[in-house]
Amino acid sequence: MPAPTDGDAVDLEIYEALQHGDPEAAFLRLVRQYGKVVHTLCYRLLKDRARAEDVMQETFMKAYETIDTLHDPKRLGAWLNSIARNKSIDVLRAEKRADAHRTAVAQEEVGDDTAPALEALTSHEERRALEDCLDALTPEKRDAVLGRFFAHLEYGELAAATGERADTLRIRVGRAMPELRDCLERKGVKP
Amino acid sequence: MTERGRPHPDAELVERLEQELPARSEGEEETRAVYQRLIGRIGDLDLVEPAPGWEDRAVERWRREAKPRRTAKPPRRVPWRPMAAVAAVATIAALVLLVPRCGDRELPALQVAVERTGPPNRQGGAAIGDTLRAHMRVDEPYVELRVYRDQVLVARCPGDDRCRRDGASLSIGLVMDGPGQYEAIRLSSREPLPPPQATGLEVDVLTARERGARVASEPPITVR
Repeated sequence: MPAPTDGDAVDLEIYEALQHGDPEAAFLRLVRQYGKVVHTLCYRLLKDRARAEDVMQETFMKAYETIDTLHDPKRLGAWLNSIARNKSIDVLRAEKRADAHRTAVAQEEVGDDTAPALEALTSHEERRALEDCLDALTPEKRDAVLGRFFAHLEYGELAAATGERADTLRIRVGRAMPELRDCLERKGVKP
Repeated sequence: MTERGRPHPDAELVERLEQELPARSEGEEETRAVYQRLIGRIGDLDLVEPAPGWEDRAVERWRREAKPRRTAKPPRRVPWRPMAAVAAVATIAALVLLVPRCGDRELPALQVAVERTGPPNRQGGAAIGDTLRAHMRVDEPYVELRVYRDQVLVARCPGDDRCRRDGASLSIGLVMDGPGQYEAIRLSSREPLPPPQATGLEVDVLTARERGARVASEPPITVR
């Protein structure tokens, strides 16, 4: 078993505080430690800051109320990300039609892109291109890629969060990544 | 390229990378490096900060809405008589609403069992000659029961002679006549289901989900 990292120690402290410490102080510590990451994940899935903050708040409240169900305190961050991911997907499902429209528009924009392939791009532009290409993926693929590589969930954790099979998710990620690469190259970004 | 079309040539390479399998050639090693950089870039995406004051708003909402997990306060006095009357009415309503439906829910979405017909297997698990019995509920316009052996389709209901339809259930008895992993899945949808592909179980499940179908499965049965 790998030695605990500083992050593990922080997770354990927060877990203990949530279980036995002052509830408000523990909740605030949880929010400060993970708020930005959880908000970013929600935002990347929902593409709306107000809704992302709303889902982030719900994520922390659910975490507070169900902390007893977390089996491995060192996976606190991944656990929060899986809650945030599920809540975001619930919101997307409720607005499936609007989301499908957004995706279609994004895909059209990618398809029409005629940026010169070898033009030098700044780091900011490269990040922007990556965000645009992530947006151009189907919601299922984007969810799987972000869950795996941004939220750092293992396939087993993703499978538990989504109700899908780990192998199915691995195949989905395998299909999504070449799409991302192609999209970036069309935008002149060399991955 | 969509998931329904032919997968990108690199898709399998990324899968192998994610399975931590070794590269099969120098060319694959180079391509892997590209994807590893891309994975790193995704992990390094900028954090999107919430609007200023977000921590206060989160705590404020927590104060308003979070359910306390433990409380030091004495329990509140409850007006028992009105509560009891409400509970009685709710119980009766629940019985009236739920009892007629109980019959519909007796059969789980998918049930898989092994009927021992072959000789005992000393290594545990099922033995060659045992029968896989799968039952599934039929409650949507399009439903299918499929059985795979080592990811390859070996039976599909309806359509197979071994399938039986009985009211709201569909079942199959399949003699497991060789070693391998046998897995039954149930597909259901309001729309026509995608046909099975030669590529096997995982791709079938993926394709069905992409088209909005629900997929239920049970752990595979290993026949040695």
